[in-house]
Amino acid sequence: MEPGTQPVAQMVLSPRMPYALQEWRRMAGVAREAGFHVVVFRDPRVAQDEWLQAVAAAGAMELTEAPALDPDTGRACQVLNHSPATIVVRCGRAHPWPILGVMPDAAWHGLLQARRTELEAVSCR
Amino acid sequence: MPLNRAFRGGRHAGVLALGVGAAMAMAHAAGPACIPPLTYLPLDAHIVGRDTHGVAALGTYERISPDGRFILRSYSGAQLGKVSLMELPATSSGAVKAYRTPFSNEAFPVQGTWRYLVDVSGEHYRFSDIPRLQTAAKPLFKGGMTGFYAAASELGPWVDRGEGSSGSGQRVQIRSLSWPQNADSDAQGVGPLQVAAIEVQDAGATAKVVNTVGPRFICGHRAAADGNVYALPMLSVDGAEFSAIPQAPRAGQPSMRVYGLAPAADALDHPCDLRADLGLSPSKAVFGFPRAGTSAWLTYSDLGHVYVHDRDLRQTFRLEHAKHRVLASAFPGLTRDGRVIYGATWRDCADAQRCPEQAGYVVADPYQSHAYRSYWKSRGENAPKACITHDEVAAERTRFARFHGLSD
Repeated sequence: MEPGTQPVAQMVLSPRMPYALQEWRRMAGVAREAGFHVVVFRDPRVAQDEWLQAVAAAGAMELTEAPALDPDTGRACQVLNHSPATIVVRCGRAHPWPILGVMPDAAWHGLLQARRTELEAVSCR
Repeated sequence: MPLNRAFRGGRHAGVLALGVGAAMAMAHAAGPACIPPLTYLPLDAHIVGRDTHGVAALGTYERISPDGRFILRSYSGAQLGKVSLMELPATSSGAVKAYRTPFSNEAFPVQGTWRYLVDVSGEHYRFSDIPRLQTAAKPLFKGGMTGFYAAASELGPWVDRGEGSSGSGQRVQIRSLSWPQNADSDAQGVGPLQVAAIEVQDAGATAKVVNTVGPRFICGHRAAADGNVYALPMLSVDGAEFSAIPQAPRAGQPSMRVYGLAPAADALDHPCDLRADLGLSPSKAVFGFPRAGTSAWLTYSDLGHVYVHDRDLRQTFRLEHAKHRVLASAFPGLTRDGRVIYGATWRDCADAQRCPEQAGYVVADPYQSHAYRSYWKSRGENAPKACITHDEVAAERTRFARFHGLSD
């Protein structure tokens, strides 16, 4: 794989949405297995202490340091209405359609691959 | 790579175009019988507990009863357990009550009547047992769909049946919809969502499932247009439709849409005919009650504001706020009389030091919203409905209480 061509799944999480934190590890695992680098952002409307309490309750301490997404970016990218909301990025180009919500493995994997295929149609250069 | 950088460099980076800075003035009630355009009902932290900011715990995933008296909410916080049933006061001067439940997060009602509340295990509890027995309530039977975003509705004709919630051995038909968590992945391509139907014989003290149809994948034949993955599904109040966002449409872009289901409870196939396209991707679109000859309204939130969508007019109306820094939850609901109720946080004034954040519920009359009235004014016509009246609200409260054998 050329440097910089690894697709990235950028997931925005909010503990205020049912299942988001509980299911993220499974979904992140599917994404990594499919060759994606996974990056997590915290919904910027969720305060840091609420976030820390929620990730501890979900047993997802690896999310402790997740940075808050820039609010303007979140609004522009339509990733603040539901969580998880995942943007697929490759070579600095983001797919315009976020993948919304939790879903079974097969559907999640299929959507990641579809977004990736569409981004791969554009050269990295 | 930071997400914002990725988007600046993205070839498709689009900006959600939302109207901002809209007039916030509240419309005046059309007459003495109108309910207030907006009512804010704060939660008492002594009753519901506090979050880490010291604010009353709001919870999330609110489901609103047909009369607007009860709210089933998940993630209620340590003081109330996972899922609690909140009771709103009959007047704005009363206090919000809270009841504990035996449910796990994402428990949901059987829409239409709220005859039963359903735990995520598929266990159905009689609604009236919850405020009476709280965590000691016992399930009546198990059935229907489980899984992500599960929702259920009682199939008609419950609207005018006028029966109580139990007794007389009545037959109840329930349709449910969800993402299957443990379905055969080889069959995933057949259809993205699953529907099941159960028929229940309810004798009052007991109730049992006497017939089951499904679960079956649905809408597989729409793959050529919509792809085979839908997000944020929600079943309509009457079980005859569902809303969802196709995640990989073959044309256009993902947007919230409404699809039709077969009317018969024992239907094996569903038409999934496209009935509405909102043209944007908001949070979950929740159905109101259909009225004779008209399509059910939808309500949803988008970036902290709440909207109603009139499918017949193909118009969306934003509901204004009357407090400062209001952040609405993602799960508003419509009562049978048309009120919109949602959870929210707000401040009574702009000064964050002087006015600490409050959490609670907002009751809005969409007919008195600035957007709705402006629309009809721009057409040079009188709105078909000026407001929701106190009498209408009281009638729904009485109807629901009578159905469930509750004190009014």
